[in-house]
Amino acid sequence: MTVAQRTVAIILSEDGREVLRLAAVNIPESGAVLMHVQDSDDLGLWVQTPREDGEHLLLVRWEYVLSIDFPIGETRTIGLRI
Amino acid sequence: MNISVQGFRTSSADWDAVKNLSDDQVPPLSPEQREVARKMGIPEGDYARSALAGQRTMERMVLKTERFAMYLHERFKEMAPQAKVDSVALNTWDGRFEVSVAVGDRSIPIRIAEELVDDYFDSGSPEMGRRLDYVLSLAMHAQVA
Repeated sequence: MTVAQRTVAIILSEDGREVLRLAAVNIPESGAVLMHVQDSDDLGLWVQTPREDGEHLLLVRWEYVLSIDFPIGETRTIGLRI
Repeated sequence: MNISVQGFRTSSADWDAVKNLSDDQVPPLSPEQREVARKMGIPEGDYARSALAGQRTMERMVLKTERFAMYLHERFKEMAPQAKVDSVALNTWDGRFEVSVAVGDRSIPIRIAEELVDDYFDSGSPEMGRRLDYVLSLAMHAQVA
């Protein structure tokens, strides 16, 4: 399974929260951080983050990720008459 | 023919399109969604934008699956007229289309990489079309033989 191309709620470790603050990413004081994952690889999650000059990609290393949550969604089914 | 999409995904394009919408430009959350956002400490506006982007991506994926189903219907008319496409499902978890084709009283499952279909639809290149045909004929021959 891949989390790429999904908007997910990430629970970060305290170190992870500190790293994001160092990277000047606005995150809430507590709770999950909602982020759009562009891609993921062995290093971690590549997430989109807005900067003053536009969107940037930021690596959130796996070691800082405690948990990831996103809705599974319901299967959408339609009938097609041919 | 049944067309379905399993799973939830948010394309970057749809996320980009909604991320700067103000809270009053996005559909309100349901009470259940509001509760989830509260429990997780996610601002309601952010949760609503995420839900809207996911909804838009879902609509695109349904359309893509429908388009692919039409393509399969036409291809099988040429390649295997005795075959009838029963269902086409896009499984977003492993990025594959799961197709069920009926040949007589048999049901043949075929799995096709979403990436291959995207590449063909995006490029329209004859080479991609041949690769897709190859996957289809391989699956049909393997099951029918």
